[in-house]
Amino acid sequence: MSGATARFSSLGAAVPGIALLVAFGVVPLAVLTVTALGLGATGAGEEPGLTLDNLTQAVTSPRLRQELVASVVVGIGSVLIMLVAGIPLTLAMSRHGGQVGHGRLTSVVFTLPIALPGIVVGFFTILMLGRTGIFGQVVPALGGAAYTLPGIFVAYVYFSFPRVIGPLQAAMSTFDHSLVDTARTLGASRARAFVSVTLPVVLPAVVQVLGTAAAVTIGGYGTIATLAQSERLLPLSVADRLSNGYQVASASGLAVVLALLAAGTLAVSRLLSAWLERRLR
Amino acid sequence: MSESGLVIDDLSVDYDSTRAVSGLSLHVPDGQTLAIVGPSGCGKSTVLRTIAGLTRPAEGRVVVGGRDLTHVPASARDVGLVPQNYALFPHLSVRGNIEYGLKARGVDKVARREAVDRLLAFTELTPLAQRRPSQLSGGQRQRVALARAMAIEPSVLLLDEPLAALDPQLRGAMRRQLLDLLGATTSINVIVTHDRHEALSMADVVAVMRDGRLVQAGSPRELWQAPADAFVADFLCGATYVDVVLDQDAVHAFDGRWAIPYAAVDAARPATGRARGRLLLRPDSLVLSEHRGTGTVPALVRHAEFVGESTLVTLEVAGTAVSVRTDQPVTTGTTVHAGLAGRPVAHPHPEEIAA
Repeated sequence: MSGATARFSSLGAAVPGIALLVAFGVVPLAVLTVTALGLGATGAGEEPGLTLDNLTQAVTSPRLRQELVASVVVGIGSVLIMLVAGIPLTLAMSRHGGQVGHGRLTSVVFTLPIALPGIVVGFFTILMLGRTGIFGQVVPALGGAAYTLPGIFVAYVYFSFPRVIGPLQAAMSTFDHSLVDTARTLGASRARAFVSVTLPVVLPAVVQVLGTAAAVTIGGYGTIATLAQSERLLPLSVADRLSNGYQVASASGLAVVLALLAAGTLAVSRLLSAWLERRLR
Repeated sequence: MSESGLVIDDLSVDYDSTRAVSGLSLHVPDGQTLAIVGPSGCGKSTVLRTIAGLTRPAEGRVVVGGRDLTHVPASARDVGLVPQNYALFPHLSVRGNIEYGLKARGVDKVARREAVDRLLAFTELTPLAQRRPSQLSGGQRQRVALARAMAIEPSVLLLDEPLAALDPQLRGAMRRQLLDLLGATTSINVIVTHDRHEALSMADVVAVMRDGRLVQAGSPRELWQAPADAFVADFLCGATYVDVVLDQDAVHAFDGRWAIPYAAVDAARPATGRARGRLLLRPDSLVLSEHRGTGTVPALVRHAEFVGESTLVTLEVAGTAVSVRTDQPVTTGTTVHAGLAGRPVAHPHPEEIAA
């Protein structure tokens, strides 16, 4: 009796969440997929009727394929670079009780970019690496680098900074530093202790952070919108298809591909993380 | 310089701006076990980390077997550490954990296997060699941590609160087992604990620390018989020092409220006049009675706690709290009369003998 009451009340609590999920998740995705298959609305110069072309164009069109590859490389690569810098930093912060140097201030500084939208990050990159950017004035070869793939890469490293550091800090706060201390007394160098003890223990959390941050970065539009002159990433094409002649079916196809890419990155990282976690037990 | 054993020489350690350990000097001969005991925050764990090389001292030296380790990194010290939570590597098997130090030291595979097999047998872990730490009980984890530290054949073996992580019911048995295991080692063992029973039963040398300083060091029996001050008496023996005045008639305590005849106490009458001293009252030093008698003092029962084999009583005599263990039933809030059970020693203050 009381069990039934409890189930009933917990169902009631879940209703708003489920309703939101259906309204803003399931329904749009279904409409998007239907449109991508040519069965929904079509835009200028688009033929109605069942077709897979809108979905496969991301692979069949050389230009879109290049954008797809660049999106994945920039999305995962920039997060990887952030991890290389972030793991030692967050480990040091957790060893000193969340404080490195002047503690709270550092913590604020390191998570500050979370308040900065992608478009602002792109703008920053132009100020630094644009044709008249600060770095370009000192080293002429760097002028205009913001619009090349390496420049975009740098921008996304900055973009992923808080998306990596924040979750990483949470994951590392529970790291047991006596593991490293013990490894050191057993004769391990700092490097050996890091590779043979720290890394295997934190890897499940790191993989999960990588997946979540990469999924966000792959779909990030604002940064590339400010930096796209010669190089392009996939989110830009989704927006362009809509704004240039309302090619809604084509845009939907690319949007589905982009969503699957981000969701896939997340799913793969979760699975890998769970598998690694099981190996720790 | 040829100093054998472990020498801690005028050691001071700072954490940020606070001095955690101040001017600590200790000597532990080869093969002996030192227990550092004190309340939490007394600096005992800091001493352990400094011996291990995990914390850098502000001043002083750590010398083992004549070798000054003060500036030697932790990885080159030959000091084994068993941390409080055991810190077993969760991603390695029991064998992998024990093998870790030997691998780090570049010991070849055959020698490694031999050494680990020997330690597994020694700590009775052979059937569990392939298990992960998460599949072990607390006692088994402790033995893995011990075997892992012993594998590198350390000259000093450090144990941080070795029994604190275990269920209280297990501690007695684990303490005996740990003693047997440590007895078989040739290293100098240093145990940090806040438990006086552990310190007294496991160590050859006990060092009592308070607020970063050494209060007293000596054999367990020396400390038990003559605690240096009220803190050591309370912490290590659960006893109270009471100031007394010795005159020609009796030993007087509690501002003259209690006159103890010389027949009841082991003390020499001063040659002339009066002398000051102090009397160590242990929980079993006093007998309680409902009636006033010769050499008794009235006392208020503040707390009475029945624990089965006896009742633990806190008495208040002239504002001083005294612990007593008694067989008799007593009631909180009543007044009882306390007299000496045996003949405790009244320690004279030689420097304060008054004419």
